[in-house]
Amino acid sequence: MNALLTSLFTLLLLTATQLSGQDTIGFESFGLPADTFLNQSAGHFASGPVSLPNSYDPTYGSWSGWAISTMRDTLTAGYINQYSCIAGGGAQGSTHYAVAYHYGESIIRLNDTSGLGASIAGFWVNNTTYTYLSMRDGDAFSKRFGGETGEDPDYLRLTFRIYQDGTLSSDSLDFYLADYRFEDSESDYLVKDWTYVDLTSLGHADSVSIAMASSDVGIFGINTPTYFAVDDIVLIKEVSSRKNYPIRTLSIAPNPAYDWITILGSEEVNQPIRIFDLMGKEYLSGRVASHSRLLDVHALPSGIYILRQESPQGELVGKFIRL
Amino acid sequence: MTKWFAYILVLVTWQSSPAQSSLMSDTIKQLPEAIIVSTSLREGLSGTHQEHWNTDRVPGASHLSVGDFLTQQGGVFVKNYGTGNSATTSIRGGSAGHTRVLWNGLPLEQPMLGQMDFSLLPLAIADEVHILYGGNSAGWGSGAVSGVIQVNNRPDFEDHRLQVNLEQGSFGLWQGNASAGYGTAKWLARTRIFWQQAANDFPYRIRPDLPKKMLEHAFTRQSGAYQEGYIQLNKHQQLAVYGWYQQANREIPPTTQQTLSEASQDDQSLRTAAHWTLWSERTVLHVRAGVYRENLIYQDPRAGEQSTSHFWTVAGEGTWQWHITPHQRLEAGITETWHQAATNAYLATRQQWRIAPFLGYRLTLDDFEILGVLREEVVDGQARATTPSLSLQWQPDGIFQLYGQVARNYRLPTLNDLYWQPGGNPELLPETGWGQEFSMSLQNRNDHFQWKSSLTAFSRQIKNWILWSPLPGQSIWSPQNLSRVWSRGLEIRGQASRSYGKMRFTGDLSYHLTWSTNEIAQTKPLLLAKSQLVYVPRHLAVASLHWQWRNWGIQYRQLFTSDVNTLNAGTLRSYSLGNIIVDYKLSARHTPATGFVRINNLWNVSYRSVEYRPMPGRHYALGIHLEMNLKNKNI
Repeated sequence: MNALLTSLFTLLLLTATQLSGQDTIGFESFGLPADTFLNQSAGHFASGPVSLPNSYDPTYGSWSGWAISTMRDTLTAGYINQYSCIAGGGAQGSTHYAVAYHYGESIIRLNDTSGLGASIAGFWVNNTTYTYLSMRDGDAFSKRFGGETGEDPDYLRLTFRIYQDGTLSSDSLDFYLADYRFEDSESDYLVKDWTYVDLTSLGHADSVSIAMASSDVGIFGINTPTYFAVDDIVLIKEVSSRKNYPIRTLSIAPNPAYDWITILGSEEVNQPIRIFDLMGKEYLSGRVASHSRLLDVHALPSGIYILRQESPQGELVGKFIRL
Repeated sequence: MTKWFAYILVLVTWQSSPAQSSLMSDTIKQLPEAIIVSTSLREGLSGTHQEHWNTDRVPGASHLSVGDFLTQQGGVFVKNYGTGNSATTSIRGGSAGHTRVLWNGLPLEQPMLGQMDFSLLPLAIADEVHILYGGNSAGWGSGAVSGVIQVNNRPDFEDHRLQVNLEQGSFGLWQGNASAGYGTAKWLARTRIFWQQAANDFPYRIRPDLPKKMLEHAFTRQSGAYQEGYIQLNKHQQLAVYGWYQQANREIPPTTQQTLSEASQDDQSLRTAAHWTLWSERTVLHVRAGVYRENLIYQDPRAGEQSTSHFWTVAGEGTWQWHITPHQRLEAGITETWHQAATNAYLATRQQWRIAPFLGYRLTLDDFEILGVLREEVVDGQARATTPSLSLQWQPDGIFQLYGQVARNYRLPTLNDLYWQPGGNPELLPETGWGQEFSMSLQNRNDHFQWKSSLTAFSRQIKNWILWSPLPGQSIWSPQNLSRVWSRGLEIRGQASRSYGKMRFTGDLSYHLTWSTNEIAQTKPLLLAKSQLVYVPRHLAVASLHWQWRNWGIQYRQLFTSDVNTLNAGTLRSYSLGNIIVDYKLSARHTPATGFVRINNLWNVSYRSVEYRPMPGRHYALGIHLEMNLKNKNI
């Protein structure tokens, strides 16, 4: 029996290290009423493991970074409508989305505590109403794209780079929210529909850095309103893809288990543990009872789970089956 | 004693500096001895170049705004956002906030921006326009850094005329104004009304090969009334009161890079002022005070924006002059200005109280004059700027003249600089700096031929130049004392007039060379070191010829403005415009009339003075000026 379980565990572990999962992080969890926005936070907005930095100045009522929005106004021009997406809602029929007021660098940060090596694979982007109408019609400060003659090779570009273990990649990916550089002006376009940007070619992304550039610049910088909208951030998880520190194996018994498991291989009894499924979804966190080393798992749905325990000496990983 | 008294009256009624335009001496009216309307020696600062126009002597000008008038005269660059729309000045390389604007000696600038929109200043309210070039902060306070523009009234107790001007022109222009004065030797009341509207729907081309476009959403309407009253209280006192109401409704047209605009701006103002003058044999005490209430409403329904701003200004000044001897004069005074402004962006009503004592001394010897003025400005209880000036003038004969000035100048931060949210910076220092100028002039006069020429060189350094730039690591822009600007240049002016029987020719020529450079490189805004400031042309030139024969007059004027740096498009190309006006005086015994035809932009030049803001091509106006003597007609 023991030999059978050991063989099964080894098989599962091997399988798990080759498995990859995908998760989509939207912003519906903010639960905002329709046509509202949230532009102030305690430093960032968090949706699952995704973190969007936000800076709000209560003195001035001004903000930069990211806001969460359910605004649907696709007609009103001007900054007073800065939180609306030109699609009138979020990506794939959702109501909530994020709006970036870009200054210098916009960041989408991944707080991956699952240990599964999650990575940002891509997300959906779109123009805000303010920026879209400004590029389409011009305003007192910024130009109508195409310029006076309609022939100017204007553009509004997002450039994506990724952070991997704190290092910014040299490779980048461009996405044009507007592009009027075509020989045939019939091909000129302004993005009005949510469009998926696939970043997997850049590699494993802990965070994504976004730069913005426009052809409409003056001595004060970009004249085009520097806003864009983002939704449905797609994460992929590859357990084997990150090996920043040694992973030691935990022994768990019984395995498979019904209600309780005992952690056998760990000397770090007091270190917190976390339990994830193979998609990286966290189900439990806490500490084992130090005297018994027992952990109650009866609330877990049936399936394969990974138990992680961090310690100063490295990470301990075990896998078990909940029957 | 009579001689003394006459001397004072001549001094206080008009400080006629030889540095002024010779046209002035042609056009200054002979004022009755009893009338005193101006009392400050500062008006005749002897070391600076000055120009002066009597508005009723400039044909076809009564309908113009002061902005359009200065544009036509040349020498001052007027940054014009389009006919009827906002117009600001740049004199000698300064910014719009570096021009002090005075209405009978009281400040007129809008306190939030610290500058004047000259399109809202109708020439119809003024009897004269006077420009002092160069820094005059010691005399006139904050903002008098590159020049002072004064619009003044000069009461003429003998003038009991009803004057009516009507004008119709291209692009839906209709204008009218009327003034009537009546009184006795003891009092005078004069009422002026003015009204103007224009569709401004002129055609323009982006490029010769592209179809014409029409400017849309550019309708403007302005109207107002102006009341003056003067009373001789006794032989030594005069009281003058003024009331001026005006409203303007302006559609703001789209730029050439904008598909449409629904924005508009409404301005309303009520300004009142009272001047009291008391004089004795050797002293003159002059007290003036003004109270203004102004509203500005900006709306853009398309963007869902509405911004309402209200300002109160209470301005006052008291001066005391002592004519120590016929050659020495001392003047002490104190200026007070209180502003209150309320707008959404300030989050709260903001106030500012300024008080500035000053002292001036003038010594006149046979052919030499020296004038020193010292001013200290205190803002909300804090001393902010000490500004001395020293002017010298040497005139060995009636032909040759040397004059110059060394002065410290300053401009206080505007209320927007201090309080705009986000970004307003209450810690800002005033812009300050020293300026020097030196001029020489030659003139000759005889019955048939008069000429005058002058050459001026000037230099002015301003430190703590205020620029809005991003706060470190933030997206908020805030004004900071970042830069230093050096303005210097040359001005050449010439004027000649010759008569042949009943024919008279007058020619004017002036050329202004201005370098006004940012001396400290900036990244945001992007300014290179030694780069010319935006909207400051390096070359300005104007030439005009006026021919007069019997009842006919023709004046042609050609203006040249070199290219200017802009905020976005790099440079705006140079342009040269020709304007012509033909007038004919109908001689009637009691109701003389003058008809005129004016053609602006005669050569149909496509040009802009502000990027993306088209200006009209050739356009016309027909007008008539009627006069009726109210006393003779017993009305």
